[in-house]
Amino acid sequence: MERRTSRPLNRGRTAALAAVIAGSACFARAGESTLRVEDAWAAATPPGAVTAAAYMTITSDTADRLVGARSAASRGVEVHAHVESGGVLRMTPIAALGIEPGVKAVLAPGGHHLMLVGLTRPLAPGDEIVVVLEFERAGVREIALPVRDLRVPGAVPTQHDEHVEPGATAGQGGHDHGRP
Amino acid sequence: MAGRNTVLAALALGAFALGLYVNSRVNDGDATDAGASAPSNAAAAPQADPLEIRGFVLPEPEALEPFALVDDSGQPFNREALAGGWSFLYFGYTYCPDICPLTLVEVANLKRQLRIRCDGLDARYYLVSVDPQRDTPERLREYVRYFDRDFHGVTGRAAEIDKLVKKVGAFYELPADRSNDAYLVGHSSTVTVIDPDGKLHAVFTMPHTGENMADDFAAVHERYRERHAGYEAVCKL
Repeated sequence: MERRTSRPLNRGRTAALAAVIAGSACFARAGESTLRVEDAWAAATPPGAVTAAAYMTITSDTADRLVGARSAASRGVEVHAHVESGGVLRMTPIAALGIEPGVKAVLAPGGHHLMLVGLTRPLAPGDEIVVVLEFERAGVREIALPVRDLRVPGAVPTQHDEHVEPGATAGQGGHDHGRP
Repeated sequence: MAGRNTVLAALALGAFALGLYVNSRVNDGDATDAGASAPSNAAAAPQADPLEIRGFVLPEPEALEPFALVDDSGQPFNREALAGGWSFLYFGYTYCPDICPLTLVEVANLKRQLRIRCDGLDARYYLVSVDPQRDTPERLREYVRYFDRDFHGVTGRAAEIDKLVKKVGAFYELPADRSNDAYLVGHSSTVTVIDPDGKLHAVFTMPHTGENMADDFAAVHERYRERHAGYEAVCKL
């Protein structure tokens, strides 16, 4: 068990080491990126819901940006973040979510999240949906998300203590972002 | 000094204590139908021994202005309907993807906690829609029952919703363009407590947990008990 969980970490370290040895500013190819998406899940939907939220933790040894997302489970997928404007903290669709090197980008209940817009069917506990994430440098990642029932105690991880808000990049020009 | 406190209190109510949490599209800065400001007694003098909760307690509970809404079975929902028991109001909408379901789960936890801790308590739980265009009584009923079978939805004309929103210091903004079926509504995320006299008594601010709200309510409830001879319900502190 321990061995299995430590392997990706070692591989990550090796990749990081290799990058350091290479010592250049060259871009990592998609397959070699250290970017990891973990603890991904989506919330089961109440009756009649046409939207759903999805959560995950994204880490990378190099700076990156989440620039798009899509899923067969919904018409569109938006990245929502807290953005302050005019002294008011707003939950707003953003064009890109910045991933700082070595800093956990936490998409969690009540904070940043993905919003699935126009669900093709309700999300029931036990289902699994696939979300395709598009990163500027790490490329395209296909993530399987188990669907969890918010009402079940423990379904929502309590991570307020180490909640790290990733850097949000507000869209430019005031256009409608995040929807293809 | 008093003036300065007033300004601080107003700022706290307007920006922080109410936990402004607003959903809105980037291009809807000119959103219409904006809700309201802080409760009108923001300038009230602090009491000698204020209760400390996650949110705020009114030094002197305030009567609500008249309003006329409907509950999810089509019955009138007004000041009279609130009298006689404690009511917990959450202002949100059923198309809300993240914060509304999360908060309603915690309100359901609050209800479970109060069932254990309180004796003789009459408590009611409502989702008051800030999106009446989409939230019909039927839709609200189906939605709120998902969280608890005793929860109720409230909706009605925007002008009537605004009366209640304004009085309790909540806030919302609808996008100007609501032709898209998935439009977002920006709104504050607070749990408003109305006492058995039908008065605005306290507001719980984010982040909400059932345990914290139950602790805070027990404190608020105890103070109410002390002030009302003959009131018999008890909640363990």
